[in-house]
Amino acid sequence: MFIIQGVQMRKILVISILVIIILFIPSYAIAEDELTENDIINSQKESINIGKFLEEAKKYSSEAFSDIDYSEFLTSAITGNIDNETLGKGILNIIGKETIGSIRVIRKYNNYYSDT
Amino acid sequence: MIHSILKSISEGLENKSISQVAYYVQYILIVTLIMSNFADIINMVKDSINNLVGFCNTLIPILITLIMTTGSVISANLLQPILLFIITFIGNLITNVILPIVLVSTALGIVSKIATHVQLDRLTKFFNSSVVWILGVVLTLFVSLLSIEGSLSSSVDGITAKTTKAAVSSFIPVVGKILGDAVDTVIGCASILKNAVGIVGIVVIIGICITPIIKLALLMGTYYIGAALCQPIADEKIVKLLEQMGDTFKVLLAILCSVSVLFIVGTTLVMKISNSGLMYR
Repeated sequence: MFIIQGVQMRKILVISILVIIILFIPSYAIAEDELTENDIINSQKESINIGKFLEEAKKYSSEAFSDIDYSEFLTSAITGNIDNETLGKGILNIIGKETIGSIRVIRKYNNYYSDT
Repeated sequence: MIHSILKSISEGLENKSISQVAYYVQYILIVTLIMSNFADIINMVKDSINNLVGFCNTLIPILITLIMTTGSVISANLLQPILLFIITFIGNLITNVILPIVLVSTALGIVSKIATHVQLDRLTKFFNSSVVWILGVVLTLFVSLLSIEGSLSSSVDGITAKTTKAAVSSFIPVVGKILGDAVDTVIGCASILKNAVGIVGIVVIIGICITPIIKLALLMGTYYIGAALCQPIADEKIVKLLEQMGDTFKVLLAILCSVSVLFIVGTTLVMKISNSGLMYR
């Protein structure tokens, strides 16, 4: 009888300790550094080596769009705010430059023939 | 104009053979001037095509890697060989077949304008129209092949990814759903990056092509205007020669425009194919 009571007491003690532990241990966790979409995208950029691709892009189209910084352009494309104005200005500049060039060539040949 | 003045002077000469020789010398002088300009333009078109192919060979592996990151493994495996083959094929076809045809056609056109008896106008027209037909067929084949292959593989990719996500969410206890959501976030970010890289690629393709296209359009306009202005005063052969050069520049413009449109459409389709796979989620 006394032995059973001692076992029961031990059980009650263990259960009460467990209840105390469960009550006092915090059931939530706080992240120290939140992982955002930008962090994921930046890590993907690094792993794919986008920097080298952007260098190549700059090399190929430097004649037409010399003003465009492709790193910034990529960031704006990710956020969905593409700067169309710079592109339009670049194309208009080329049209203007080429038109003036054509007129100069025609004038040069005209003057050459007039002189000869 | 100068040719017409000289022609009227030489016609005043009594000796017909001298006047004819003088006429041909003038004609050859004009042809030489036009040809020096034409050689520069041909080199410019060749350089642009080579730059386009070179850049697309850089762009496609990055896009394919990003497509794989979005989980579209079958699409990536199917598209990469097709794309790389077609891009290289088109580059070689234009540089080694189409541009020489244009050169031959131009030479025949110039010769047929000099000679009175030998007429090769029909052959020139045949070469020009065959260039346009070849380009049209290649463009249609490329777009249709890419669309069909892409639409089939993207459906398979979408369903596979959805099944995998459902299995992970159901069978992994406690963290299964969190894991599925985390994978979805990473895939979504990869998709955003892929679309952004595709847009940068399209802008660079435009940047490579825009200068030669504008240059060719202006030259074509200049030659047609020149022919129209010279018609009342100049010899008919000179007017036809200027028109012939305008037609040649038109064909070169068509080549460059169709290739740039082909690469832009190709890049857009690659972006779109993997996006449609994501729709199944």
